[in-house]
Amino acid sequence: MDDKSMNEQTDDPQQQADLLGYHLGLLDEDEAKAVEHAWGQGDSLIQARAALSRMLRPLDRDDVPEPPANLVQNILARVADTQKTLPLRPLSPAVEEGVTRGGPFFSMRDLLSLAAVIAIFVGIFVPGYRTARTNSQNAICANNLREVGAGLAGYNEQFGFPVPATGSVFSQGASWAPTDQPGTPVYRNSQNTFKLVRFNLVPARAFNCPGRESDKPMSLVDYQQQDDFPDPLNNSYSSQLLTPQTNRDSFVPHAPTFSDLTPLLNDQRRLNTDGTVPQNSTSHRGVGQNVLTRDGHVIFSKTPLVGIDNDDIYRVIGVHKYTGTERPQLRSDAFLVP
Amino acid sequence: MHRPEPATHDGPDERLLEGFLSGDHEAFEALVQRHSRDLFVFVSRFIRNPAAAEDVVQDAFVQVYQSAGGFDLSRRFRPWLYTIAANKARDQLRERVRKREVSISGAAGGDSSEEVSYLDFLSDDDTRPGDAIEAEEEREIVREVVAGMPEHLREILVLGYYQRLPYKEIAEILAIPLGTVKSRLHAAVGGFAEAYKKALKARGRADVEG
Repeated sequence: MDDKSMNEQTDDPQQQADLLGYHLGLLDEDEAKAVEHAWGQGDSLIQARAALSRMLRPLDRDDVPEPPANLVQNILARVADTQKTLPLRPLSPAVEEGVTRGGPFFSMRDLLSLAAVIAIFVGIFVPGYRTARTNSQNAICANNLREVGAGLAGYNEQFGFPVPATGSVFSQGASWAPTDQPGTPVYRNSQNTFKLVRFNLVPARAFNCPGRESDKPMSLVDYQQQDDFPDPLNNSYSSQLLTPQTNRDSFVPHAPTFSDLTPLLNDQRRLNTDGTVPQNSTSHRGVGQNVLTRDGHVIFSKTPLVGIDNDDIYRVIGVHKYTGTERPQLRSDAFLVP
Repeated sequence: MHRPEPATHDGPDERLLEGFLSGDHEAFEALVQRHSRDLFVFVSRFIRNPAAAEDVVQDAFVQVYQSAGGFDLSRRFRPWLYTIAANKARDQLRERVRKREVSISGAAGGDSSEEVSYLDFLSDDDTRPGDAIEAEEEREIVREVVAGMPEHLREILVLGYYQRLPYKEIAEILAIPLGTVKSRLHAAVGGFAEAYKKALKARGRADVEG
């Protein structure tokens, strides 16, 4: 063939590609006509195609195996297998019958997994939350007692003597807590404590321990007209029951003076008479109690044995059953009641 | 008694697919009958393993079966089928390469081969290698050359030369512009001619002119 004449007409790659497409029958009708037009009326197109045929002939040597005779059957069988494992929803009988069956959105497995995850989260976060809450309550309570300690020092400074004792210690037979005995006069030790509120040395809210959820803050009253907290539940703390023996000269710096509520009393501030008095204050789940010492320090002790010579701050030496009339017998015998 | 006429399955592919979606399972069978052999040949040329090719063809029809509901019936069926098969064939090839850890491409170069014009080799038109070497040897050379072509050129050679699919349909199958289809097939044919000539020379064919 005349290669030169052909190359002259097919320098354009686009035209070369179109020639190939024309030769292989890949062009649509309009494109094919355009190619014929470009190559003109002569034999050049025929010759170019013949040359292409010879060049492409080796490709025809590359034969491939015949498709397997059962190709179609195999494909249909494979599709049928897929149908078994992946049923099409529109073909399910319930839908065909027009029944809108409200199937569960979640399988039992999903729900169990969800329950397990929730249980794990609860296991992790709830104890953490409880611990954080308890720690927070303990911290607020300790801070309350520090304020009380500052108030006690302020009272001493303002009046030149410590907060005085209450009337109960001077009145024979009087009780520091309500009893079942009719006619027994009650002088609560909180009359002593209330002076700190009355003289604006300690805010009333500082006498509320957040660990005692049944206690309530003092309502708005005229402090000057009060001798005591209007409601015993306004005071969550116990203070040292002062006697003539525990006078100002006997105070030692690390002696306990205030603490969480004594376990001798229940939530209603009545004596526990059922014989099962816990060792620790119940303000902090019985784990321990905050204790304020004379020198203003606050400690959290897991036992009540923090008095002088490991004295129990909630109990009097030699007494097992409390009636509300008990008094400390020794100077070193701290006895804290509300 | 009036009986409904049996559905005929000689219409266009798209109508068969529509029939299948309406519940006519035989329409799907007709599509399989119509296309499975050509599809097998296409895949077989592409991945050179009859057993794997049959797997790919089966997978392609399974996907058609499962995805037919989402097919836009205004489009043509065959390009879609070939697109699915080509994608699965590519996956199959890559899986095989990954397992064997060898490269299937390289001998015929990369995109630079697209610059080759097959017309450069037309001067060989008087060369009759088929006359000089054994047919089996020639077949072996052709297979090696085709197998050594880059994947994108081999793919278009199979679709354009062996399957004779229209340019426009190839563009649809490969999701590339029409101009790219033309230039790529042109490059594939030119690349084949060049590599084939080199291979003949390497076999010591003295009658091959450069």
